[in-house]
Amino acid sequence: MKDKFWFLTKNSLSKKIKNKTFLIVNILLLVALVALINIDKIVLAFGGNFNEVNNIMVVDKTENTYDIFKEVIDSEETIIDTGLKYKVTKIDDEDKAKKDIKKDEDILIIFNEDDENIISVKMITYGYINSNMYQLINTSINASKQILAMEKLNINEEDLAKINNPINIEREYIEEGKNKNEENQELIMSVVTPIVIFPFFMLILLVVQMIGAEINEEKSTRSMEIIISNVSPKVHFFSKILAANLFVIIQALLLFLYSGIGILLRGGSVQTDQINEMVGDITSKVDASGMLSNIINYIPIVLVLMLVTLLGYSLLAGILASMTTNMEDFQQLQTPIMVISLVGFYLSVMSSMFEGSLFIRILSYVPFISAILSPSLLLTGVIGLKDIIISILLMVIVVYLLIKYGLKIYKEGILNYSSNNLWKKMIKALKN
Amino acid sequence: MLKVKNVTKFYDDFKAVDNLSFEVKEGEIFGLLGANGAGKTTTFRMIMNLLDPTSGEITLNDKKIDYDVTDDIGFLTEERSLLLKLTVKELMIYYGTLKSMKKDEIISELKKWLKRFKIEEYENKKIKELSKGNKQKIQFISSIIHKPKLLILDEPFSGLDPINVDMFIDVINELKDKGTIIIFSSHQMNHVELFCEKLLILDHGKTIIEGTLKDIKSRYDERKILIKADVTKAELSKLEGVKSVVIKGDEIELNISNKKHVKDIFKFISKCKNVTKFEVVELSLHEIFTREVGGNNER
Repeated sequence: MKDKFWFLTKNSLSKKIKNKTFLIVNILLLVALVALINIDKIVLAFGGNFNEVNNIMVVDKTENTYDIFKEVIDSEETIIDTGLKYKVTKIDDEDKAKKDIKKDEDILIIFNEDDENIISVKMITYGYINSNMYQLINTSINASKQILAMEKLNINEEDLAKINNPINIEREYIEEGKNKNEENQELIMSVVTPIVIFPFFMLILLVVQMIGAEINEEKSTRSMEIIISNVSPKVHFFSKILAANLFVIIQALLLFLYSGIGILLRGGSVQTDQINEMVGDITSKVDASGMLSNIINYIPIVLVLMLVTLLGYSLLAGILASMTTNMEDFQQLQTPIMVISLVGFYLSVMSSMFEGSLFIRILSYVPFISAILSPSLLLTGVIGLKDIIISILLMVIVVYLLIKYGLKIYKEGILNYSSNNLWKKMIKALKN
Repeated sequence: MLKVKNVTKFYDDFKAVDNLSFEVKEGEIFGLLGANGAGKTTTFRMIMNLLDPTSGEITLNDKKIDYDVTDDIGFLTEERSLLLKLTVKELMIYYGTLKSMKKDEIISELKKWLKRFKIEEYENKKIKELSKGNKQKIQFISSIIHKPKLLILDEPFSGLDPINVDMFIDVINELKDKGTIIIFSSHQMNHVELFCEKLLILDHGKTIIEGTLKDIKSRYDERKILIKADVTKAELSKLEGVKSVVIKGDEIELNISNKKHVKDIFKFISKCKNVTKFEVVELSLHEIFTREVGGNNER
């Protein structure tokens, strides 16, 4: 019987891995992830009208704005990094300049004196211009206006630096273990959601669908009768669960691998790297607070919680699939699972909006939701190691109960070929 | 030997099988018959260890049927149990391994049977691409590939043309000769009559007829007489014991209430002109079945 268990597990796993869909999906995932990580390089590599030099012609009727604007636009470009090419020239003849506007890259800016607003600006173009170029010009004009205003009000450079210096808010916390960097939840969530929560949520959907499809395929073709006459429902059940979980773990590892390939390919870049900057920014903030070492310590325990939760979801999917006879019925019956995981997903994404909410904190212990919600709460410092351990223990209890009582339903349901009164049948199986 | 002893099966309050008992020896073909819902599938499922009897006992060679014994059982289900996305070879490896066979053994047996059924070219074809008849052959091979001691055949001839039916019958008879215990179920009574020495008819879970085919037929005194002669329907209808007269082409079928009337009818016919046929036939299994089960279902 032990040999048959491993045979069924191996067979189920290899069937999934050798499936053409798996190959196609993974090729797409590899391409998508590598592309996403290197999106800026790809956009530049393909070229486009951003290779054209934008010809910014300036008619300065104020006499002193052009020089400031030219200086400002160059410094702004180093900050915004649009990657666009441009040249700024001063033009005296407005009418001639207007005639020179023949394409989208020709831009005429006219600075006029204005008593109320220091300067007024008119921009004439052939059609719509690149939005990044518009943003660069707009920012540069506003910055130029600010400088002109300072000069007009006779503010020296030292005072100007003082005005421009951001205020550093000194924070103090009464509660122990709190620090300022943990308050930067929005930034942390912007990383945690796409890297941790969303892939985990997708893996949950994958494991549920996969188990449902496989069990229903065997039921709808009646091969279940042949299988169950040779191995016990218990052996069959656990082989399906193990194979599905192994598959999901393999898929998760592949996702990591694809991301690694994407990052490796990006590594050769000498261009300004916004992603690297962003990651560096986050890690420096997190590291400064001492959280980075905590996160590294938390990773194994969070992974344990995720694995136990995946097991829980797959057990639940297997139990429900045993009661149905086709995928349509399973889709209906699995709705509660989807709702639970979706609740966890949305709560996780929105948790930073309700910081300090006791309700969300309590939900972070709830089995099936805890693994989706905990990573973000852990990173934002709302919960700690102890809370994760409690969540794991609660999930383990649920897994134990699912195995103990779910097997009764599975044994009863696996040879059931009627779609009527499914919930009633499940309750009856539990009573038996 | 397969022994089914006082087996009863309840689904809640519904009694699907009621105190069923029978025995099948090695080299015997046993017919388990009944209308839809009579309890056949439940009985097969209990023999296959898929369901536990509410009471009673089922043993194969004196061992209670459990997962140690099911490797010795082959089961051809009424509704086809094939994983359509697999190839023939993959399916046989899957089912064969579940019967504790080694891969090499499965492949060599498969090749042998594919050749026997003249479908060698389908070894690497997906099941879903096969015709209904070929799927049935694959299903049949999957139930016998592991050389079972007990073979359960539920509607084995469904979807087969007469040539393939004969091919199946040959194989079934060979297995019988090798000592395989065979339980056979079909709604085609002519098939049952072909090779079932013993049979049992279930109706609403209860045994209504049991015994050898010869014994069962001998319990009925009614006979059919097939006649070819210059005689009219009206003349025959007047004879004593004649229940009905049916003209079938150039032949007349006479249904008589008791075999004791055969002698008098023969005397009458022998006086007619152009007599070329006078054949006395026992009731067919089909007639016995419809009489016993049909009547009960009408209730």
